[in-house]
Order: sequence, then C-alpha cells, then structure tokens
Amino acid sequence: MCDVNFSLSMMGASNGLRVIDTASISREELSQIIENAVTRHVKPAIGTIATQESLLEFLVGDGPPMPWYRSASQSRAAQIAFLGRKFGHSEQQVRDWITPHLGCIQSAIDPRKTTVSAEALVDYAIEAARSQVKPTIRS
Amino acid sequence: MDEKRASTDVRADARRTHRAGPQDSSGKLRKAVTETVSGPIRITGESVSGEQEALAKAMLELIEANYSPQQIDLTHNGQPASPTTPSPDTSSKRPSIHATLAEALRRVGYSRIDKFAYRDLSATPEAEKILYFQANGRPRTMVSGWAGLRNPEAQAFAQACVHTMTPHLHPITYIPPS
Repeated sequence: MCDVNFSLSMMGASNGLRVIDTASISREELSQIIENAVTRHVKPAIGTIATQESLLEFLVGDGPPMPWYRSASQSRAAQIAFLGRKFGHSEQQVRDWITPHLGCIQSAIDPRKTTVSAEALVDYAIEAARSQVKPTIRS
Repeated sequence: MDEKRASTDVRADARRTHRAGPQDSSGKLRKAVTETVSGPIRITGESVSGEQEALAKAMLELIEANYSPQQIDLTHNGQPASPTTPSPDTSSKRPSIHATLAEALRRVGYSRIDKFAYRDLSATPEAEKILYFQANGRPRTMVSGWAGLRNPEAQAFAQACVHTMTPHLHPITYIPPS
C-alpha cells in the first residue's frame, strides 16, 4: 500500500514491542494504545507533510521515525529521483542525496538472486526520471 | 465398511475441491466432512508422498473455507485443550479488532479505506498518510501496525523502476492483505 512506511512499534505503540498482543489487553487498552501512537507520535512526526516538496524533504532525511536502514530504500531512492526531477533539482543534487545511502540500498538487494548493484539502480532511476518526468515545479 | 466408503468420498471430493477451488465446495462435501472428520488428525513419523501432501492441503483448504475458527475444535494429543487457557478472543461479547481499531482511529481523524487500512482525512492527495495493520497468530490476536506516506505518482514511478531493475525480486516492503 505504501512503499515508504515505518512500524508503529517505533512510535511508542505496543510498548516498544513489534506486535501488540491483543489477547492480553482489553479493547479499551488497545484503543488507547492506537490513539496515543497516532496523536503523540505519528501526527507530530509526519503531520506537517502536505506537499510534494515536504515529502521530498522527508524522504531525503535520515532521522526517526524512518531512517534509511529501516525503509524500503530502493523505492525511496527512486521516489527521490522522481520528485527531485519534478522540482527541477539537478541530477548531481539527487545523487548527492542518495549516495550516502547506497549501502542501505545494496543491502536490500539479494546478491543470490540478482547481480544488479545499488549504483545501477540509482542510475536507472535518475535516467528514467530524466526521460519520463517533466520538471513542473521550479525549486 | 460404510465408514470406509464415506472416507473415500471425502478424499474424492477433497481432490475435486482442490482442483476447482474452495468456492465450489458443496453441501454434500460439508456434510461428509462433518460426519467423517470427527477425531484428531494424527501426523505420523512416516514419510509422506506427494499425493498425501496434496490431499492434506486440499482438506485443510476445505476446512478453512467451510468452518470458522470457532467451529474447529482444536485438540492436543487427542485430548481437549486445557480449559484453563481459553482464547480471550473467542468471546462473542468482545468487539472485534477491526471494530476497535476503526473506532479508535475515527476519533483521531482516520477513515477506513480497506481491510485494516485507514487514511488520514486531513492529508492532501500530494502526500497521503495511511495507517495499516496486520493481525497474525491463531487466533489472529497479534497486531502489528505501520504508518505510510504515499504520493501515488512518485510511488508508481518507483515501483516501475524497482520492478524493471529487479523483476524477480519481491519489494522489500510489507504489503497488507487487501
């Protein structure tokens, strides 16, 4: 549904556990946990992201709640290439944003199944953005 | 003798169902399963042939398609499960997890868009915010949740890129059942 996502377990839900054991808590407690996670953590973290520009800024960043190593870094890099092109950023700028995270992208590629490198994937995304995306917004 | 014949019928019906899909299971088959599958299913240490494995798979699909978890009496070593450890979710008085999540998220400005998926009503189409959940376990009481950001155009572009470069790899992201 969303390639770019983060677990609510990082947001204080489920007391830091990856899952909420709903069998051991009441429905009221479950409601409270979810409401708290949204109002205290999710909304303050991403509530202000309302435009493509702020989305690009969020994707380029590497802080909580969605550091690169915990995200779908291949898709994230391609989305940065797309939005960077759309906003008229130079290809070098886009590379500068992505290059520090090549290790994350590479680690998400299973070398037993493909020989594609992170660099090749980023090159392809930037090239595809150049040919398919028309800059519409000047930064 | 009758028992043997009924058992053969179930095997034949299970094979047909396995081929045709669980939606084609008939009342006759349901009746046959009800009448014949009454004791614990035992797994032996012997090697299992491909046909036996396919048959077992077909029967499991059949049972899952026709019976709710509450109807299936899980036993342990042929004995009923301990009455001291009932599943809390078997109580029909308890609201479902779906209903609880939907109500809690409605109060904080999210509306349901799919099974276990909720959209922030205040978000813009340029940056949609979606919460989604998954319930695992038997019964499904272990809930995990994710918050996601989505610009549909950017995501479609990225998915096409990743698929082109690594077509035989699955995306490294959770896709909840729709």
